[in-house]
Amino acid sequence: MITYNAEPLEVAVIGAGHAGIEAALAAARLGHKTAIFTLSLDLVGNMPCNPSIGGTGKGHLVYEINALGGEMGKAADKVMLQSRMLNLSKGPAVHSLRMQSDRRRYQDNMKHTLENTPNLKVIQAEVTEVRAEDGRVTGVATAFGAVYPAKTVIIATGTSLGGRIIVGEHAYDSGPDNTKAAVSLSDSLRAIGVSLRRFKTGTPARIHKDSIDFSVLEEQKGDEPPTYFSVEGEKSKGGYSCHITYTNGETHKIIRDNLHRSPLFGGMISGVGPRYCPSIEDKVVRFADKERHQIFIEPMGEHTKEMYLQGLSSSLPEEVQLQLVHSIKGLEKAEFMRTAYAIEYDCTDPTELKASLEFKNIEGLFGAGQFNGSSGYEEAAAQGLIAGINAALKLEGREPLVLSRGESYIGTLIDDLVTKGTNEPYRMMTSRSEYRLLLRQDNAEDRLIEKGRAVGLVGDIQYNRYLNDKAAIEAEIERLKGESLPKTAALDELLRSAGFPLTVGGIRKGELLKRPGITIADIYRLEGNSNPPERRIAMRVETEIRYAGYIEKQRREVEKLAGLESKRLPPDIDYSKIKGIRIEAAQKLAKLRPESIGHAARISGISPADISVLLIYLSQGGGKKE
Amino acid sequence: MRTISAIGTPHGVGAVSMIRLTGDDVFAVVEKVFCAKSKNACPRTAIYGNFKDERGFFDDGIVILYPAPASYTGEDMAELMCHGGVLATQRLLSATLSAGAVMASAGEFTRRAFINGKLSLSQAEAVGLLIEAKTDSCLDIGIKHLGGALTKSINECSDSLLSMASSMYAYIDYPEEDLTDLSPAELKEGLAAVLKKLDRLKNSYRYGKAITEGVKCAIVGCPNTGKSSVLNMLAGEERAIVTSIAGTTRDVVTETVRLGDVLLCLADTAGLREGGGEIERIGIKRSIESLNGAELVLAVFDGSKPQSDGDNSVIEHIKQAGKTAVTVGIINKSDKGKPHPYNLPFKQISLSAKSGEGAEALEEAVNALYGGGIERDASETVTNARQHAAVCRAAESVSAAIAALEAGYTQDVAGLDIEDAIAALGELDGKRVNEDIVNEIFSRFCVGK
Repeated sequence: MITYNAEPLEVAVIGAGHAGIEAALAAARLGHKTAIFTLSLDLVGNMPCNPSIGGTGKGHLVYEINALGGEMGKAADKVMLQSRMLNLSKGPAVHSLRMQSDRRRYQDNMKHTLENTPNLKVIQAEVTEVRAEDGRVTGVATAFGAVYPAKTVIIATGTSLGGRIIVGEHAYDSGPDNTKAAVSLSDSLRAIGVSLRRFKTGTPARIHKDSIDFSVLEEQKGDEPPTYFSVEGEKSKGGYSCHITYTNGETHKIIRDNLHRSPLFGGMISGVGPRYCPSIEDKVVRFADKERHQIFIEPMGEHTKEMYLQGLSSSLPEEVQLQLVHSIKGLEKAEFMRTAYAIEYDCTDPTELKASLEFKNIEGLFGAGQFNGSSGYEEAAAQGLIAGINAALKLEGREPLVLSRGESYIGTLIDDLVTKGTNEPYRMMTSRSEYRLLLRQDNAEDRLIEKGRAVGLVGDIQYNRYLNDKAAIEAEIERLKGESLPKTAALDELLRSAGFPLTVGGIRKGELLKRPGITIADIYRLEGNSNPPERRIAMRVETEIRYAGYIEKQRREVEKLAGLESKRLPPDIDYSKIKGIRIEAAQKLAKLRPESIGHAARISGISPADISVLLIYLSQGGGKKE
Repeated sequence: MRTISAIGTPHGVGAVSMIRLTGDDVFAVVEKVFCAKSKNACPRTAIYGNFKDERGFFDDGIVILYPAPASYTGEDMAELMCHGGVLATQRLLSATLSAGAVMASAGEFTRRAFINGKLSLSQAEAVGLLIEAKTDSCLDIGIKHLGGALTKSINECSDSLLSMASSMYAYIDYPEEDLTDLSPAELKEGLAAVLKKLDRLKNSYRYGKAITEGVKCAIVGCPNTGKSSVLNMLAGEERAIVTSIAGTTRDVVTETVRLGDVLLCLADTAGLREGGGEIERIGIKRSIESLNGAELVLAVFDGSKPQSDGDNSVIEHIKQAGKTAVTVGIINKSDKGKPHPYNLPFKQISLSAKSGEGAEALEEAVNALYGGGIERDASETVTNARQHAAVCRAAESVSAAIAALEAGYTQDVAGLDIEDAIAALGELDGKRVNEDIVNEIFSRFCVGK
């Protein structure tokens, strides 16, 4: 192979999916010469599965990306088809925004944003090689023979790395949506010391809109008015509906009768799939006593009649898929446009990464997204943003940005991945966070914008608006805590209708607001004020006042966590020489090299006794250079 | 780990003494100090032979070897049994030390068992309970806890909390998955059931503490009612005295005596018996202090005389200290004929401290107060302050979750309280690390010094 020298880069990003986009934008916006490589420019920002952004836990990630100066939320707001706040009745901590998105417009938008970003080259080429010397990355080479020297490289290969699609008895090398798979890169990565393993995921069929009988389906409309991820910028109005239907006994019988033809159960697929979005055959087998499974029909975009069947992911042969879809109410005459498939791909073991997402053993090499063992666009984008920021900070000789579990879902996601590792594609969930009441969507900017600003990604417009919001929220909280409402018939009526005992005299407005069910709008009504604050401000005020006691309690716990987190474990510590530590524990710690006591304590298989031994070691001056 | 050695039996003269060794070089050490006469020296069987040091053979005895990991500490272990007596035992210990072992520090065998995962934290505590047992009930509980009985009842609580939390979170994380949501009413019901269990555990500490650490007991009453006779009756019989230690914080001699299942730490309130003036005031002040700190009050009255103003002022002090619920009135001197009627705001019994007649009634009354005598499940008895604190925290969190749901707060809040409760229970067995636990381990096992 004849190669030629291409221009040197500061940051090379492999892959232009959701992780690669955020990584490249962050690095380029921070002023570093960056190139983003994609197998096809028609695949930039593709959503090969759900045409939606957000959801439980994932919505939190998008808000945090936005607070740090990332792109995903802004793009989603522009192409929104439907916006729905999930879990409204379950409390502010778990409110989660989900947006159906126009898939094609999302891609166009993202591609355009990349093209318009200074310092960023957008290149269609297959990266076949990542080069490293003496434990340091040196560059990348493409299939056409170009060799780009690069100071840092971010791998964001998604399901394209060693991708293989399986439908029934058919299997072939392919990335998502029948695109080219990256077949040579895996060997190159292994050669420089990156360990790879096989994960699996899948996607359901897309069917023609005109072949669906909507008259028998349950409609689900979006929220009116819609909520957005970002405040600034262009917003889509939405107005699209989703529809709900269910599988039935007949569907399940078809699946069971054809299980022997499923590559999943026939042993053709070796990769590990996610428990979090199982295929329909998985669900029917594992939850045999469930009479029906819910199917969500989602629009793919404004200018297409393709409809997505959420809940019907499958790798059964096409003819079986047709039968089973036709057994479902409303889909009896469904016409397939894209067949459901399973896809296997190569990814790394994230415990080989530091919390900055840089490889522990290869300086300058970063991983992000599905390559790190996660699942989901939002998880990918969050890691891409952090990897891009940290590549830039490294070039500048600055400390990496590491977010803690106590301040973000992004920190929780990355800590889970690099500390505990994962045996299946990792999905974010609200239950993964111990500090849910602090880590809400509505206060993401409060938690993170200063960090984004310090890094240099948050612009003046967003930052100044945030400062105004913050002042307005604080002033309103002070005002409500200080002012009282007199006892009136209207107050009595409000209390009675919300199910609370009447007050003897007047009541402080803040106290009134603490009663669940009573809103800021109620108080404004009693005040005779017809100009309540904007919704995002009002919601913050309500939550901060109503949940003050709980928020304070969690804040104290975060402080405790910070205590353990601040006890740093030196990277060159020789665990085998520490007296009293179990051999298995020493081996595990030597392999994972935790960065702090808090980090070590979260590693599975490390017992409290091991931690106490480490604390003794540190307290006796262990780890300090003699 | 380095090899440690310690005498496992009490100091003094006895038929047999035992030296225990654990660590990497146990078998090498044993080889240097012991010459086996048995033909087939198998692990975990008694091996007969002679003990020796550099001066030669000095005793014969039995050795049992426990190769890792099937030993108490999880390491290679040995037990060396020689003839009892200070000299032989010391010489054998010295022999093991010159052969390469080092002296074990306090609690080190148990610490190693814990570090090597052979014992959970509550099991390690049960070992202490067994060693220090002063009552039969304490011994019984110690053995059952060592077998993991307390762990099991704690796990039952945390399992049901875990299952509630997980179904709640499943719904929150998959709001559109057609799952059946746990209703607030169902949640409250489940939480109430756990709370009942936790309350039972919490309340058992009263009994657990009474039989292990003992309850602080104040004997009060007017001069000449027979307080000193009651004290002598309780403490005077040789079999009842367990220890006699000088208090560290206050200059009061306390005696620990056993009354049925319950250990009483008696504070000598002799102050009340002093004469008038300055000294009496100090005396009264002292007895009030002792009354305030008491967990059990024995109020003594002279049944041969009618209820006096002095008696009424004693009753008033007890009321003011808020101790009527834990007071037993003793109408003393029943040997002098039918006692006068006494009107007391607490339970009363009649006895003669002088003759000991009616002492069983006192034992019954005290044991009834501390839950003794009732058929009690050892697995549901909490015996130390750390366990009690953890169970209290868990119960508090569960109550908070119920309160939050009742006040109309959302499930995200209740969920956090439930997780706190699970964490508190987890700490009982050291499943979750936080600084407090680690500090506790530090102090308990005297490491790092």
